[in-house]
Amino acid sequence: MRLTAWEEERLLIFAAAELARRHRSVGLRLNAPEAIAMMCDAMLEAARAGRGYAEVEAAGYGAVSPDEVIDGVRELVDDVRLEVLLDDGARLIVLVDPLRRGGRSGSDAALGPEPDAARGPEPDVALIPGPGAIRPSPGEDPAAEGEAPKALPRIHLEVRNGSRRVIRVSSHFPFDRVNARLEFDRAKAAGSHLDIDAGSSVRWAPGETKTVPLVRFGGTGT
Amino acid sequence: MTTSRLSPEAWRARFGPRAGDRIRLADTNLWIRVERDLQAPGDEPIWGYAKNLRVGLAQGSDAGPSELDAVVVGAVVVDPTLGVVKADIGIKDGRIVGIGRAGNPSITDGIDLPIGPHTAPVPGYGLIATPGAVDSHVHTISPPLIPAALSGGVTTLISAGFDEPPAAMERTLRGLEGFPVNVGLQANARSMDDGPLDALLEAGAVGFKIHEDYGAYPEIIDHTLAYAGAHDISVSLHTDGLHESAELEDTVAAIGGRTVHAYHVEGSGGGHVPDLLGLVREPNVICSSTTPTIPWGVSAGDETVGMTVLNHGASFGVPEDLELIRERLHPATMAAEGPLHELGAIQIVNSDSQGMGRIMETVRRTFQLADAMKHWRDSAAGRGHPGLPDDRPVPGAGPGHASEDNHRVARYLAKVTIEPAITHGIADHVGSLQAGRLADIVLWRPAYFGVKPEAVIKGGHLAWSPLGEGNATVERSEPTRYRPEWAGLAHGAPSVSVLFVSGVAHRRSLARRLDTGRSIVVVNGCRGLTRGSLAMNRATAAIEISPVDGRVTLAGRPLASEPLASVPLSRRYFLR
Repeated sequence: MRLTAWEEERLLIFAAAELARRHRSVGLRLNAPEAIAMMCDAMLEAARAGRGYAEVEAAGYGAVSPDEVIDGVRELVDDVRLEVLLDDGARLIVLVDPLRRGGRSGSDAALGPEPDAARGPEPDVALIPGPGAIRPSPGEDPAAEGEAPKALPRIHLEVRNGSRRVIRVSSHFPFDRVNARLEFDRAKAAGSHLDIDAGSSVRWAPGETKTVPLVRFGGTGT
Repeated sequence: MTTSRLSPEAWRARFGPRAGDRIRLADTNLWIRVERDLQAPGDEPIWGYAKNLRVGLAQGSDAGPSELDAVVVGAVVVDPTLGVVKADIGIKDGRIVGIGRAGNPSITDGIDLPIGPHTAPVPGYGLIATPGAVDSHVHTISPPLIPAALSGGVTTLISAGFDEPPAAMERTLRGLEGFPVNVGLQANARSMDDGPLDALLEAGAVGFKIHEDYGAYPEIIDHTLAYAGAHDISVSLHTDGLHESAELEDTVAAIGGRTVHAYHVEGSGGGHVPDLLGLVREPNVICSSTTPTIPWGVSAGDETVGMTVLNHGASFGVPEDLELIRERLHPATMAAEGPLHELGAIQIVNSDSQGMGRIMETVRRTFQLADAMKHWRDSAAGRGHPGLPDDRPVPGAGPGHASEDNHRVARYLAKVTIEPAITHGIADHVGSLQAGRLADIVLWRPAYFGVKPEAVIKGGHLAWSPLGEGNATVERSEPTRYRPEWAGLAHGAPSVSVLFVSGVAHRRSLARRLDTGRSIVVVNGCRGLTRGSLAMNRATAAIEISPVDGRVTLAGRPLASEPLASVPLSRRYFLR
């Protein structure tokens, strides 16, 4: 057989999935490893049968329904990554939120703010959010926040993309040093960067003009 | 610095919880609240395509002397001494520089953790970071215990005797060399002369264990503690369950007010039957519990007879052995053990691995207990006892409601981190994420907190994680299994791990003899400790305990919880 570790690992998935099928067949609801194994096994089998990428992916999403898992298991499965052997070779498939827990930010939003403690206990235990849930802070709690941001000078600049290509600029790039094809008053931008969240960026289509907020860098400037 | 333009939900999707947010710890009913955010608002370092952790942006371009080796970015630090704080964790030379604000001091104010051209970013957004657990009762029976330990978040092992003779200690230490864990071996004190103990310290013992199966007579206790006092080492104690040489009062008299770590004080692990638990009254006795009875479950008694027979040289074919062992079991002491932890009158949880305990469950069971005791506090049996800590519950919030459990979580986390570290003289190195400690950090997804780590960082390097298959285009492609990262492999592990020894050991000759690549670190501050020396679990409890059946009362009221039929951090997470 000349089995590689890669094939042995797929046997491990099969064994776990077979166990999960046995448990499901006697009416047991699945735990997180069982649910993930079932999804992976379904995709491996679909790939073995010669199905295409989209069908294999669909087999993964359809392998386990949320009501087949133990309460609180949906929240334990965020993404499932698996490489399957399609007819054009090995391919990565990522199932995102396959048990439809709603995504981290979405489920947080659905929770709403902390209930007012003075109103007494919550009426329904079933409303307790799932494992690892985040209850957003009910409001701005200055004592809880870090050091208040120092007010740094802010300006707005009109910026035109004179390039034939799309240009994006990220949050902390020194704005006076961006691509020369962005046309604006560079002197005014000296020592500043886009006043947007860390790791965000702004996009200019060819010929597009946008007014963007800039903020001075803090720090030593050295 | 920038004021966020994102909605709070969109911000959390990028950077994890904010100050003031509450996080449910896995499937327990424990909720922690993020007390502060030390990161640079608007200048949070974040690595990737179109992100800001680049040269001259959130990363400085100079490799100055304070440049970090690694930084865990944006995790919620949960530490028994630091609280619950959103922060960056700076790492240099295998140790923690501090928790604070990482970035480029050229462009951001208040940076105390400079990111430079050699700093490896470890993304921590949305994760919880705790210190690696210190398991202070480990029987080094067989090598499979180490993968189990790491998979449960344990990064420091203090063994519990049975490691002698010196030649066997050398074999064990050589065998442990390639595992990414800190190690200290306690040898059994089996003599009332100094000579045999000297030989064990010279061979690298970190301290001593007194065990009734080799003799826990008052004379041995007295001699070992006198010897320990002269050498600044810890002593752990499993007392005389037979009452052959001593009863509880005699053991207490032999200890004579000196510091000792009393193991499995509930009693079914061994020791004075049935009232060993009376040691919680003694401020100089640091008490610990082992995993099987934490928290008390409906099957705890069922498994104990077989476990004890197989661990203590007994035989199923010898009725006398079985009678002796059955007499060690007392539901009343199991019922009181959790409440005594809640009072802080038992200080430590440890595994008793492979010798009546489970090392992958040291952390897990501690938080199961924290959860169980939160419920107990809401029951009639758990209300109003003197000395119960004030956890500032939200008025009217019953079980399952989002009160703030930061203090509770810190108290219980301390039982597997800072308290055993102080007790064994290693708190300058492990047990918290304070500056100067080894960068032994466990990262957890909140939904998996306490049960299955996201990554174990040992000495500043990734060492153990649920890794995926080797051919894949991405990390963590299924099947994911807990396995060594580079620093967890045999030749990487010694560079991130230490061997704890006493000041008696000649470190250079020991290093030569063991051919070890580990740092050899001398323990200190082991003597003169009382519970007041610990971080959070400092209480004594003036309990009364029945010498007949072990029933415990405090101020005239029964101190007891009910056995649990089911626990969190369990069925949802494990295949079978």
